Amino acid sequence: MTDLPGATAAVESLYLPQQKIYPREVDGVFARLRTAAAWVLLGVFYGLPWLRWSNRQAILFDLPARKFHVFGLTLWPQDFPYLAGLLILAAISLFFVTSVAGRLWCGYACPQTVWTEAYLWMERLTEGNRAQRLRLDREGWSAGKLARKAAKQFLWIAFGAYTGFTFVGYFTPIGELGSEVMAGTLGRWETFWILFYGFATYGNAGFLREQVCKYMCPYARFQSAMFDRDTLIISYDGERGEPRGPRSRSADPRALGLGDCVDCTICVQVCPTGIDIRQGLQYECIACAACIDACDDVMARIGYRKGLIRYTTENAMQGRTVRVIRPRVIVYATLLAVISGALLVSLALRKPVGLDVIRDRNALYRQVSGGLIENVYSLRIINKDDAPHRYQLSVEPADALVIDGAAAVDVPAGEVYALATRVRTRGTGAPRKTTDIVLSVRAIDDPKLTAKGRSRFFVPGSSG
Amino acid sequence: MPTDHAGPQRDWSPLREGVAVALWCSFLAACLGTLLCFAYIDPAVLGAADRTGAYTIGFFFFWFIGGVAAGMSIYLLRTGRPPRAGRGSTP
Repeated sequence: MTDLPGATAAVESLYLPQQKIYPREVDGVFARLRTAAAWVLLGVFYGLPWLRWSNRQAILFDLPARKFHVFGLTLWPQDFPYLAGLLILAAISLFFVTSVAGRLWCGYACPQTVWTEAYLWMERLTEGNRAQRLRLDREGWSAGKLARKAAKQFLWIAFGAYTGFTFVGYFTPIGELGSEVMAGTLGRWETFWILFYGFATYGNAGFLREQVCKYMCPYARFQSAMFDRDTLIISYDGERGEPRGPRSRSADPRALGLGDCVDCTICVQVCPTGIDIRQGLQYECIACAACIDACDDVMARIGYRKGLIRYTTENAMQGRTVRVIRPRVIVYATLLAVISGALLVSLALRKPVGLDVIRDRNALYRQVSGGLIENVYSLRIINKDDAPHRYQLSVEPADALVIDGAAAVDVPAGEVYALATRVRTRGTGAPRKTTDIVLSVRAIDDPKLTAKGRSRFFVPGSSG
Repeated sequence: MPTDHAGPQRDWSPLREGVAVALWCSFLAACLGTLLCFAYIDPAVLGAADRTGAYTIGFFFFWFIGGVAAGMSIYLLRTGRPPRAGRGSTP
């Protein structure tokens, strides 16, 4: 971080050239759990846009129409606070899970991990296992190598393109999008975003992989702030493992003065970020538990106890008692409960009607026949409901003011209705000075559907 | 926050890391900026014929501005005097 200008080239040569990591395939409890999580999450991502809900795509963030459909709920730009609340909720959930169970998110649920797993799977399908891939990359170009590499690229690009298509399908009805792709009539922005997202998937999951976690992920850097001595981590039991060293299966390690680690380095070979867990907790560790599976397998084969590398906590490693419930966990849990409760309550109480009131800018007031004063307001009635409604307009104070003209309007489902409304004084009890007023709408078929808008009523001789 | 990753783990050149970090951080900021901006501003009201196009241009505008800020920050942090002993990264 401290190199001077001009010294970059010299400094650069001090760093190792970027070394490609060839993660070794691994099987075990956690590998299967990780695969299951990947299937579920990818299934949700690719399947969700195809789900229907009463004649409509169930999840559709309809950006062109500025409406978000989430099953039976339709959210409008005015409902932005719900989205903000949801994002805050997601962040606190992440903090909560991290403080209890460490980097579960990184190892099992982060899109970077999940898509990297999928791309690695395609790599294994076409180029073989770790040893075969290492050999393939070392040997010269041949027809066989070309075929394998081409097959891998074909799978990667196709998968990336379909991922981009699915992503755009969350914002444009995916059925229409599919037929447009087939007919070659795709709009330019949709085409652009499919290619952009497809390329990002291909680049991130095919090439950048663990480097995203190491160099670009902010969470990887600040997650340690949520850690304490009772947080679940993946750790190598140095006490038991050291001094490490190879030995024959029949040898007694104690007689040789050795610990349980046979130094087979398989834990390093399986690591997707290429670290050695035996050097202690490192921020590159995404807690995928591949090293646990690998080490358990080796321990079982040589007849040693499993768990030389295991999920544990710092306190447990040092023989102290482990507390799951601790102040920070309680704080995160309370925040989580309060915010999700508030969000649910406000969603339940949310009225699917909105009213914007803007005073007519052309004239403060008009004098109409009979000495009455009239003010004009532009109203926007937003029917956020999935059913059409007829709304009754009213004005307060009702003893002094009255709406002139149509006092009820029909607004179709999910539409905005704009109208100019004239409010005039009643003959008696007319306000002598500028008055604060409230305009409101109420659905005739459902009196609970109401919305209010505030404004001012001007009269002659008043300065405002 | 100190980042003690100057070891054999480090395999990206400072230039590459700087570009990647600037692009990525400004990308995240651009997502947030686009979300906040267009939640309150309807491009159709401003006279845009195609909302999707306006969102896209808005997103890249935010990305560009964020990228300039991030790139400049990284450049200034890297080209100043070395931090005093006891601060910053330790190998």
